[in-house]
Amino acid sequence: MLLILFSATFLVLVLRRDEIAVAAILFSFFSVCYMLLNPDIMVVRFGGWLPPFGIVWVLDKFNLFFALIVTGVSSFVAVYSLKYIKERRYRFYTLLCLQTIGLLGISLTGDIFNLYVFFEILSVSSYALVAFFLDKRAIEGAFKYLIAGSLTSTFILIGIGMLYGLTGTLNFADLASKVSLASPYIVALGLMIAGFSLKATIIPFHAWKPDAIEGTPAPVGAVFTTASTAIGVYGILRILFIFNLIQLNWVLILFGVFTMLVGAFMALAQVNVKRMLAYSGISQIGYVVMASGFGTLLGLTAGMYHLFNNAILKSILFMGAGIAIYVTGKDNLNGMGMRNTPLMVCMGIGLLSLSGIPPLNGFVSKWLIFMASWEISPVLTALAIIASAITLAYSFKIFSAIFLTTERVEKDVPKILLIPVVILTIICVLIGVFPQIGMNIVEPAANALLNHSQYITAVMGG
Amino acid sequence: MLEIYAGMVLVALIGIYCVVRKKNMIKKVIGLGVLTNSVHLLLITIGFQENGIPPIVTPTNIEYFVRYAVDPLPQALVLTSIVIQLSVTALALGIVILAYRGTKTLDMEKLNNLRG
Amino acid sequence: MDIIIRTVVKGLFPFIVLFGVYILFHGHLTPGGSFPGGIIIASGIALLMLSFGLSKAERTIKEKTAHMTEAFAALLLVSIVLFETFVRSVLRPTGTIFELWSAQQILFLNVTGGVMVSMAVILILFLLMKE
Repeated sequence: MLLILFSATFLVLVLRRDEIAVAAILFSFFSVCYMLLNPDIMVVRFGGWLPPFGIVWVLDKFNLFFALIVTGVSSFVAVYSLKYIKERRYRFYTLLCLQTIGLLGISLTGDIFNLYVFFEILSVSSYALVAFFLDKRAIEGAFKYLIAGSLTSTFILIGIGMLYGLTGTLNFADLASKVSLASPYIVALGLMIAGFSLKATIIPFHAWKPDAIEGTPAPVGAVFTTASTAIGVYGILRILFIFNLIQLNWVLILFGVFTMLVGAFMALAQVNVKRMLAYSGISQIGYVVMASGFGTLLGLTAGMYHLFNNAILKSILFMGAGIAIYVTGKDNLNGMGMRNTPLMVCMGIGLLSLSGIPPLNGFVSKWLIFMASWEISPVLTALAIIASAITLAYSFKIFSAIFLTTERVEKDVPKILLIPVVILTIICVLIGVFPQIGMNIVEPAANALLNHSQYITAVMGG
Repeated sequence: MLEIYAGMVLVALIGIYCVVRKKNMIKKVIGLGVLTNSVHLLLITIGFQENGIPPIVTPTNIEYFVRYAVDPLPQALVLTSIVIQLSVTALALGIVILAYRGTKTLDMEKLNNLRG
Repeated sequence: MDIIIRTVVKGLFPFIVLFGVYILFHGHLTPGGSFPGGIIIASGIALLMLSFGLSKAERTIKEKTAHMTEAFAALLLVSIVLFETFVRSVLRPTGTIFELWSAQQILFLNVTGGVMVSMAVILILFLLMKE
């Protein structure tokens, strides 16, 4: 079943018809949802070779959670782009499908070199997607992203080489039983975390992101801020999982705090709406990383929940901003004004949820993060609340720039652009009012991450 | 064997220097290629064995193949990585050509328009 | 370009392609396989392109043919992987180590992959040279 899921997204690559791409991505999304209902850990062995020698794909709850985020965002973006991208559309869908293959492969694999291969597939298709509109800003963003991204991918490869030389195996479960915390392992760990941090846009490595997202089309910006960063966080957590280091981790907390604050402050000073949303995404990932650094079950659950909410909210915001750009033709905050009631409601709900206002899902995850950080140190809670306040500030700035200005462009918005936004807003409100739905998805994921030995026995023994 | 590792670190540093410091865009792409090649060297050297033979099964060496062959797994990894590096280099050169058509210069400084 | 280079390339081109095909086909016995074989074939075309200019190289393989062949080869590759169990019953089982036909479907995978790689690299070279 895994191969069908995977090859369906690949077949469209060579056939160059748009609707096949949308159908394939939606199909993979529903397959992931279906597999989430199965409570065991599923292991797929390629070619029938046993785990230390063959390549294994593992489907435990943690993997499937990220696969859900990835395919969900990609399917919404695929539907949205049917109308948004006006020319060379089949090339766009080819690249989008390649990117989905890369994202899905990273989240499902259990072999570390396979991880690198899919990471590169994701990176190469992302570089091409950033340069999609062939104007000056896109080319500049693409080149910066390319140089920085290839440099850090090389770091990941060095880390993989060192790990292979020290342990002799490439399988996650096998590595988990063989690594220790001696000094060469720490170097490999550091290199690999640096490599994944670029994708996850944690603070010293975030410099490519605003330029890249400014140049790329709005739905692609949605995929970058939600799915690519989620995969970066997944990489970091998986590497820490191998080293059995899911515990109180001050390095992660420090990076998370810096990312949160710097992202929020720089978002206030922007004039371009896509850049502002990119910095907002950076600061949300700061929340996630800080919460994951706590190491307790509550912290991990809070971090995963916030990642899930970030995916929904940022998709709403980027697609909504995309509609505004589609209608007004400009993405500078001084020039966009439009008038459309459903869009105003949806973006308003999205922005309020981003800041953490009560009956919406952003509130649930932020409250969990505050509770988790209160146990560790009250200073962190104070910093998180400050960042939330700044989030509210720039949310209001976006909202007033798009909807409350006096000069407005009156133009019709196509229905198909609004449908994903509306569906996501309904999900957002639903999870806010009944947070148990979100907890049912997130809590097994956090449990699976903490449960070190269960993973190993499922892959090696079963 | 230690010399090979030291050489690999040296070449990697040269590659990183080229990527970071040179202003010409094509030189940056070349630096990226040099860096990737040094990492491939590291990967192959990891599978080294004293008095090793190449890991190809011929009719004459079946008996002592398993004990003396150099490890073939990193060689497969390097093959995959060379393909990936090829596609990244092709894409990078395509973007450089597009940038050249746009601004008629290969200088990276001129391309620094986005602020903030 | 130079007359020496043109004469040498004109004589050497079939041998380069033949060498590439040899590396392709013996991918399961000697080092090589789909990727280096495809690259060597494409490098033969690249030599033609460099020494004779774009027009003569385009007479050997048109751009549209390269697109179609590559797409077809990629599709074939994916379908061999997907329907692996069906394909496996067609060929002889593995066993004899040094025969050309021994490995089950690696031969077909190599050839298909090699065609795809060579067409892809030729496409890249064409597009880069279309300044």
